Amino acid sequence: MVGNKHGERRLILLFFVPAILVWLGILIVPFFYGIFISFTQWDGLGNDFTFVGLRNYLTIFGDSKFLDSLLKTSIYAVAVVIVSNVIAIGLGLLLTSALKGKTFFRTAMFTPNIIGGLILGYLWKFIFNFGLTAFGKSGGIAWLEKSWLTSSAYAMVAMIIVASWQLSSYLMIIYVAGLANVPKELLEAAYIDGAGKWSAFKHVTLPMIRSSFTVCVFLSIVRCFMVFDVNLALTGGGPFNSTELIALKVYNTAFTSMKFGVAQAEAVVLFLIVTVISVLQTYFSMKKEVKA
Amino acid sequence: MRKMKASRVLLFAAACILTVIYIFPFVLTIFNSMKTSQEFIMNPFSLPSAFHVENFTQALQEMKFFSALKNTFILTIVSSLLITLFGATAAYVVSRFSHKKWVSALFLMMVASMVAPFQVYMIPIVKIYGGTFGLNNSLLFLSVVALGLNLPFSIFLIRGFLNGIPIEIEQAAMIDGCSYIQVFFRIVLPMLKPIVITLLVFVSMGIWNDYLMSSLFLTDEVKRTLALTIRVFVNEYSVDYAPMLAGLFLSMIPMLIFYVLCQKHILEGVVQGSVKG
Repeated sequence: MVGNKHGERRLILLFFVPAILVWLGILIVPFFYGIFISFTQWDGLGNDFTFVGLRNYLTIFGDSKFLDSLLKTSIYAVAVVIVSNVIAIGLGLLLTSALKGKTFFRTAMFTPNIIGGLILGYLWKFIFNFGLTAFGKSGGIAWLEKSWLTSSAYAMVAMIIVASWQLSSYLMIIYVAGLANVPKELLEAAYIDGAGKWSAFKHVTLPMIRSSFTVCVFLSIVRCFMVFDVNLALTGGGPFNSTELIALKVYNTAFTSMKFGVAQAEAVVLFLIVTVISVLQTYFSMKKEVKA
Repeated sequence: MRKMKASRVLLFAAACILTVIYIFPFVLTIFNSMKTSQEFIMNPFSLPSAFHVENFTQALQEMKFFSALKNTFILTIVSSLLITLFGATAAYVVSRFSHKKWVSALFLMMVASMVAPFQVYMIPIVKIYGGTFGLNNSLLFLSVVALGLNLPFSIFLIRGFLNGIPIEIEQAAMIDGCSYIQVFFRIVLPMLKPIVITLLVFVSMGIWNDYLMSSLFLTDEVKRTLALTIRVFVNEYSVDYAPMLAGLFLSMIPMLIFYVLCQKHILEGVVQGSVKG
């Protein structure tokens, strides 16, 4: 099977080159062009731009709104990652236990991930604006009477609730797959050795699902830094920009304020954050493999 | 024995309550979409007293629902097919020619480009293709953008599957005089069926629900997809909830049907997709 006997060159030309061209055209060229845009001042009208060097980067790191958005995204991410992973592990344990109708429950619980983020955002907006307030009024619960979406602090809590609601049921699927691979004999052996439920979970189950855990934690971090649809629909970044997370901030800088150079610089910062997270993930999964 | 039974009942009850938490927003929307505004403001938790069909007729009209449905179908089907075709063919080359340094190098770069968030491509893609080339409002071009964004992942996923298939059958066919391309279509492609189905289902769900990418390119009302049309009920200061709830319900129907039909593949896609990091 050497040389061109079986149409090797034709194969590469027909099967590989088109994919490479699309990849270059849609991802690679725009990526480097984007880096270039981040060094220019461009208001989006026509092709008039001036090269400004690092000025956009200096601008965004002096912009309290951008830094604030980064900080808020980080707080949001920490909360969502913890809440959704804890719930997802719990759901995973429940759905791998001696429960009747597991498949049905798993399927039903996953529903939030089938529907688009914009639709979910509006569904929840309705619930926060009408459902919870009606509940609060009829029960005389003061902190539910006014819509959470009108208060800066509560609007962020609303974002965290909706994201955790959706993400936990996504991660649950990955944890179920991981938990299904934990050998029953190992747990039985632990029980025979006198381990309690909690200590068996901590010393047997948890180490066995470490790779699922790593995947889920990093997947949820990245999801949090890229959240857009739900943010746009549920709070629109408001009230008073209090919930404008980083991806929405990039979008607004570009398409509302028409500052494309600055927006691209913000996007590059977001890119760097996500890249660092991904490199860390690779590092952690490699380290674990060596140990195992 | 009794203790065992009691704990099972408890587990079952817990699972029921949790399931309600995950589906109640959908049920609530469906109930309230049939009510008038006064009715759902009074009590959003009651069952609808009558079915107010006018919410739905208004939603269908304002959203241009059937036109949007058609556009969404075109975008989803064309791009998913392109992604599978380009993904499978390229993955075959990457898997069977991994000894070629430049093939492996390109593949690694593709994998690296997978982690970048869409935001970093967004402005330049719009500027180059929407601005310079004027490809706004073309569903076909948008399918190519979706192809580019999903291609690295699909090559990665199919390559992983191919690496697990022994090469001996292919070699035997080649000794019999088949070319690589014949081998691909006759032997490899049929074997790829399970992974291709998982990929198709998983990817088409993402494209069907996409808002951001579509919103940047599809500005013309008649080109809008379902994910975009729900915005017609929202303006700067208020949201028109009665028809919007009906619109939300209508927009969810196709995906819910799809989910009932393909649940196994969707959940499989989640597990397969999680290894991508």
